[in-house]
Amino acid sequence: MSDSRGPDLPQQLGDLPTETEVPPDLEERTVRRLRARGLLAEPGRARQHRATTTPWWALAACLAGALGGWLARGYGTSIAPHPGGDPAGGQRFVLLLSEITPLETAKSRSELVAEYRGWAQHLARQGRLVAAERLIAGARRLGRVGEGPETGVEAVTGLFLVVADDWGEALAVASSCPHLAYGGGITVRRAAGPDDAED
Amino acid sequence: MSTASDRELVASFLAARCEGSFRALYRAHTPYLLCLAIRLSGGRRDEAEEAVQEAWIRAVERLGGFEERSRLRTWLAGFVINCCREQRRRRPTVPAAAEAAAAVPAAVSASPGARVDLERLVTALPDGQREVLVLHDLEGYTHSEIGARLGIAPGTSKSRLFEARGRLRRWLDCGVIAGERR
Repeated sequence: MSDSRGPDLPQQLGDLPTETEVPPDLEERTVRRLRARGLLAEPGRARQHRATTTPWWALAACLAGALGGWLARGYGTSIAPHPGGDPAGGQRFVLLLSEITPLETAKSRSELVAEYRGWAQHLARQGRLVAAERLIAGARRLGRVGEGPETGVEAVTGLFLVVADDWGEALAVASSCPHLAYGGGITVRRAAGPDDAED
Repeated sequence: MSTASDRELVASFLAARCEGSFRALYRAHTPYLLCLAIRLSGGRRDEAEEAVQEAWIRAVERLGGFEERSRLRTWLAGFVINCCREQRRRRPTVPAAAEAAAAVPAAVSASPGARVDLERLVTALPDGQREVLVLHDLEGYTHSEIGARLGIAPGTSKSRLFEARGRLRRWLDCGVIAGERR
């Protein structure tokens, strides 16, 4: 507040504060957007490089093992309810990888594993990969769900949780997955964010 | 914040792009950047926050090219100014007369000696005048720099500053208290 009868206007203006209080959530929103664009390392990534078993390498190892087993298994028939919305991620998308028929490729298992792992690692480097899981067979079914392995959700054999700005970017990420080139299918679902209304 | 600290923080961030270094930079400069954005956006806080977020994204994308020819804070402010201008362009166009009418603060007769919220009067100025006044009188830019930054002639900058100061003085002389915008 300034007194209208006080000093000259330029001086009054010069006396105005140069800083303001910043709402705490603005920092988190900014960090999330930077992460989504791959401009920040994922939290803990630097720590992971120094650790004996870092999350990054653990993820790579997990992916190698998971994808190896997954591909070796061929037809995974599993169902695993995914928690869906993660309150920490505004724009998270789930990529559900399915195989209705065997993958159409003459490549060896190790070649495929390396290819999938390279794709996942690329996403991780971009800060887009949140999680990757192989879904094991032997689902427990509750309520009304399909029974046959040929139905869409039953054929899901793995999932990737990725960060993207919007649907276009999420579909672009999904399109880059080698799974499609071998006849596999990918269903993309957006995880509910804090601004989404309850169903 | 000293230039040396900025340099260290920038170097630390670029080395690993770690979140901690970014947060340190963010916390050092955002109180200033948000203050600037709020003024430039005429008190529209949501627009200002969006501009600051976008400014940080652009700055981080280009941080490797920061050459230290200016202070980091000044360099960051450039992004905020651009983002605020882009947001302003995206706003629905308001006829000049309507904008001028909307810019007149709610007139509340104040008793002699009443204190007036100068900050709110500044935000009530028309966009073009406010931009120049903020950059010149609060941020210390020259008319040439403002002209280059806003894409207007230095003479236009001078005339807008003249109009802005005149309008503020009239409001102050009348004891006008700025009403809420938006």
